[in-house]
Amino acid sequence: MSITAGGSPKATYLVGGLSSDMTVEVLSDDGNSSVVRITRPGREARTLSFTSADLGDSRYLVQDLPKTTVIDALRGEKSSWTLLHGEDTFELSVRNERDTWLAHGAASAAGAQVTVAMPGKVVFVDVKAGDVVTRGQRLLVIEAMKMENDVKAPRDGVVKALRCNVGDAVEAGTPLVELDS
Amino acid sequence: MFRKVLIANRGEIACRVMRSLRELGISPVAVASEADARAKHVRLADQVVILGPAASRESYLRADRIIEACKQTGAEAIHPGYGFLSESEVLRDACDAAGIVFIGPTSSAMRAMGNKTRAREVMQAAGVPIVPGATRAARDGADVTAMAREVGYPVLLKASSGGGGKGMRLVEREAELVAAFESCSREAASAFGDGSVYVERAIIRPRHIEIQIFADKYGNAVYCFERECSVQRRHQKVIEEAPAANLSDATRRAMGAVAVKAALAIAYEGAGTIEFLVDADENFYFLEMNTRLQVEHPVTEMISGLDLVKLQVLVAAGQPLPFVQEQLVRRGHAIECRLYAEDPYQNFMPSPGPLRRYRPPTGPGVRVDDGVEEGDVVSRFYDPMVAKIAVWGDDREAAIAKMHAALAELRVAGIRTNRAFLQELLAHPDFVAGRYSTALIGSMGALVAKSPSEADEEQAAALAVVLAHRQDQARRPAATATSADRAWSVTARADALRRWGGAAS
Repeated sequence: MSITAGGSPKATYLVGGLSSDMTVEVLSDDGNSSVVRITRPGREARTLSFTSADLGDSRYLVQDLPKTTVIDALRGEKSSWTLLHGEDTFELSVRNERDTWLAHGAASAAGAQVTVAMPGKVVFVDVKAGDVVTRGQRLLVIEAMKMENDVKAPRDGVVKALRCNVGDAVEAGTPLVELDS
Repeated sequence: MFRKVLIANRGEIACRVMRSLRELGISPVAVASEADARAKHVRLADQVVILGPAASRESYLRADRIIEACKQTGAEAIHPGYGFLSESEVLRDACDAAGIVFIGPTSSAMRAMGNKTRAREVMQAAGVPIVPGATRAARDGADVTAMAREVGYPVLLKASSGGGGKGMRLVEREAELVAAFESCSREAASAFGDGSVYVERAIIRPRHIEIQIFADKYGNAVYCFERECSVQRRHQKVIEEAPAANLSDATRRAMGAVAVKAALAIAYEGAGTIEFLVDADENFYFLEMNTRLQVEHPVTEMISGLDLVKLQVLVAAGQPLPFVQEQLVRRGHAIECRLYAEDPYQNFMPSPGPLRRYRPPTGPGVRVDDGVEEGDVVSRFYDPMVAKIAVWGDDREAAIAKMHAALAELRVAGIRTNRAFLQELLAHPDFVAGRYSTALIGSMGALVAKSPSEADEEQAAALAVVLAHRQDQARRPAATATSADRAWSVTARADALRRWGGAAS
């Protein structure tokens, strides 16, 4: 396809969740054929023309001739997208200029807190405030889906505070143990 | 024959049992926890009784409620599936008292095999080879320490009422013993309602090969070949195959004969599995007997052409086995992969959540047993197994190739799955060669994520941006025509052209 895609973009998006962030500019789009310009840090911009036929059910037949692929594209909350492309799953954040601006305000510094990636129940606690722990040492045990999972110290340190007790139901991301530096 | 049967289970096995019941013209009754009130097994059933809250102890493990559900719906028999109350004498006895048929062995056979320490004694008496170990449950830390010293390290701690890989710990040093014992006992108490744990010598690098047996009420017993389940992670089976990859026919027959002998020794009825540990010299030791249907039964069905659930129902209804040993013939090779909701890149952390996309593979020789559909939630309250993908091929090589194709076809979003790990296992040189033991997974390094190609990344990003852009545009006020309007006019125009014999046919 030879579309001359000069001129100013219709919209610019920032895509995160890949090996490197990308700036993607929509140069043209008629609801089926699209031309975008992709810029990655330290790279020359690349222009991509393709068609994306909506197959219904959040599935798209993407033709970037001669290649043909069916991609499942599921929109999540806010600017998150999940794309199934062959055996790859892409969890992307797709932000327009306004989203990008809003997101910057919410950035927070990572604390010295130990959290779990999934909800569960605390069934055993090995440590108390003031304990010296070494990297990899078991701090507590969470039961989820009938299996016990060890929560280990991510690094050496001193337990500053214990934020859970045996029997607590904890949510993903809740700080359970605070480590001193 | 029964008119109505209640399935005292959930998930894929409840769905699978219902299929056979329907074939037999039997109306299936589901039970469910409140969390499962709209689950697939409920949708497939003719009736449902809600047992109680999400926690298994308050729902699927409530024998009293299950008996009540039978009375309420008029179900004449209970199929217990696997796990939950499938090996519970409590439910079995309650069935007998209430005049309900339990599709499974008798109470005495269950008692003989259900408690692993007693099972060892019974098997030893029947002349079945067993692994050295203690014959009773450990009382406390001091007791378990003494027992482990006597048996000799490394030892395996096992829940007396355990199964399915839960409540088991390998302990190599005495320093780790007491903590492991306590953790094992806790897990067993929570999963099986019995915290007792015993000690066994750990056989290093054994293969796990099991024999499917079937017996009727008239003293007929057969074995339906073997399954190899050596691909295990933390004693949890991951890939199973039938027949075993490399086993001499002499050993195969010897194991079958011992298994039949064991079944007859306890006057067994119905489907059962005798699990053996097999060492490098093909010596085999009785591990345990599962007095129920196994998770991995599909591979046996695929190579034998039998429907084990249908047979269970027929035998429970008092019919004799419809064949003798010599009539059983196996054909080809079958492999099953267990698809778990867990993240293989993050130490197999369970990954419950909504199945935003779920498209299982299909095609000739591909069988998927699942208990979910797209839009369902993989609940954190229950087992993390999402589906069993089983394939059949003329030989092992063909079956492996088919499994690769099936896994590539699978599409799942919303949860993490162990697919990449399954693919790595199937491609492992030892697995491909058919020369592996239960040590296979432990010997592998951490799974390294294959990074997608830049071109694929860019294609995905480009599509997501274009779709986001279209949605942003649609939200913008005061556009001339919405995309729906446009779609209507495009369709109308195409129709008009077609009517006039135009080019848009």
